Amino acid sequence: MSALKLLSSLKFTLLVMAALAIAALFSYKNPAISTAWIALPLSILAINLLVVIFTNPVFRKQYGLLFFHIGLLAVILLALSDQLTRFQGRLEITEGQEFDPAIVSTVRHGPLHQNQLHQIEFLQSKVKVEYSADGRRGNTRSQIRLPAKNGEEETVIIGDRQAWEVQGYRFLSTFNKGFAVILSWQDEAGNVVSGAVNMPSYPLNEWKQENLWITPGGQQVTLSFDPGSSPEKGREWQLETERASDARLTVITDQGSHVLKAGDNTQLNRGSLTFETVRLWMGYRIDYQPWLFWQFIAAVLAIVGLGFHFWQKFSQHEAKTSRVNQSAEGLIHSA
Amino acid sequence: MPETLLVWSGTAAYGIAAILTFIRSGGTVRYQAWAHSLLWLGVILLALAITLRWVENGQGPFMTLYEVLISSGFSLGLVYALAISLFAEVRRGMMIALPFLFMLTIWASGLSTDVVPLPPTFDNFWLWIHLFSGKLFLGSLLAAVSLAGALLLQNNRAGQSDAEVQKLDGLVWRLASVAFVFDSFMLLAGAVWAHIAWGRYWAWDPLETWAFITWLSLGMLLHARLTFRMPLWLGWAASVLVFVIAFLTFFGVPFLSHTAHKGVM
Repeated sequence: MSALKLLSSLKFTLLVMAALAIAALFSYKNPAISTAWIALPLSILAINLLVVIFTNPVFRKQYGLLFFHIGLLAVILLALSDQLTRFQGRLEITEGQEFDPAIVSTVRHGPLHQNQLHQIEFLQSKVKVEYSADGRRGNTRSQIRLPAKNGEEETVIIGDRQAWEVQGYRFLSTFNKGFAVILSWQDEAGNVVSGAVNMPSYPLNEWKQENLWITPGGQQVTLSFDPGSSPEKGREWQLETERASDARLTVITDQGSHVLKAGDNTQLNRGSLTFETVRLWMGYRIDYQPWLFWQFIAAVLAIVGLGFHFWQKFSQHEAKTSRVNQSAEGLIHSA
Repeated sequence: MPETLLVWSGTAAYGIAAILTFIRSGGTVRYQAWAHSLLWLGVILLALAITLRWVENGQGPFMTLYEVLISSGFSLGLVYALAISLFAEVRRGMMIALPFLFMLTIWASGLSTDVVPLPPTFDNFWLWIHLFSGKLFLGSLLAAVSLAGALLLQNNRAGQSDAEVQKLDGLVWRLASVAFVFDSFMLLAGAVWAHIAWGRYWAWDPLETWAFITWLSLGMLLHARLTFRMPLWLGWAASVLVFVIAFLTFFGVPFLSHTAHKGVM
């Protein structure tokens, strides 16, 4: 049997499909090697299919089936392109803070991805998250402001299901969000710096609103945050900055602790710390998958092709059966 | 309480219908029409139970094993009843399909009816498409496999011509092919849904892996039928095996794994 004949045989297809099934089974037992396990039989199947398309005229004449298989081939190739060019990242940004690509944590980065995050500009504005009486998270409305164009400022709302797309990147809010304390540090020379310390996700970690922080003076302190109000059981509520209007920040050092309200300050080693105010920080998921839409289209066309193939096959079968029945009836009548 | 009563009544309807399919006279099921009517009654009672639960809890039956079982008892019963209305020959598989439906609902009747909230990101249009095509897939496959199983079990083929067996075999493959189309669409819709719900369309989690293996098994079966001159019984037996894989994927894997897919069908 020649190599071409082997590559175009249906028996070979079946063998590789079985190998793919076994590889899929192994892929979740061994996630580290999953890509190679799956990629190898998929590549062989792709070659098998290409050879069949070029060498089998009967296959080519069955348009629905051909469409289905070409669609599958396109899905495989587009999935490969997706792996090479995709980007996935996470972002935590505080109300009032400008977007900076440096604060994006990369989760996945395809080898051919050209990072365009530096072209994105926005200012994080107000965040509101709805909760139902039984504690279920509802809509998230995270507002961002875009740079003014023609003198008009544009605002955009991002939610869990309401993405903001820019430069091919897709921003979606996540369940991850919480309070951030805005602090100012004045050193002994009188220089002042400000920044935010994010507390753990809220209300998920309502019981433990604490974070370790090293002051610009080099002293490690524990910041313990109390928003001043807790979600009432059995009542709908909204997570927004205003919920923490009565907030207290406890600064715990080796020497003792200091409870601060917004505007209060305390003396620490080599400087003084002021608790300025409270804001919310929002967690986003960032995705860049330029081939995803085309993968979807290829998959839809493949399934339409498959449906058309079976519809055509069965309607031909029906017509044939009906012709056979009619001629049988004709024979009975003439007899 | 009315919901539980309705589920039990639907289960009883399926159970009696299943028993009726075993009462035979002269080689044929004696109370076939009654069994078909009871199947419809079971479908209606389960539909009412699901509606009541839905109205009371404000979410569809997607999260717990109990919900998945009653919704599958309803949807598979409906698809099967419709398949019988379209192709009368599908009735031959009632002695397999009806005990199967009864098993699903009796299994549900013994489970906790507690509500698990549906996360807001899960609740989108593609969830509906995914579930709808999934139920159509399993329903069509149930119709195909119950007929294949009945043909396998039929020891006495006296009075049944080769042409008739060929016709029934053709129907098994026709229904299996329809199931393959819906299975493909279920995977696609599931990928879109997962992308919206979790930000990734495919991650080889246990349910995705098994759903892919099910699709591949069915695809292999359809290919094998074209490739080899399989004896009829072998094709029927293989289709039963594919159904077993599909069953484990739908009702076993999501409740044994610890991934985000857990409990969500």
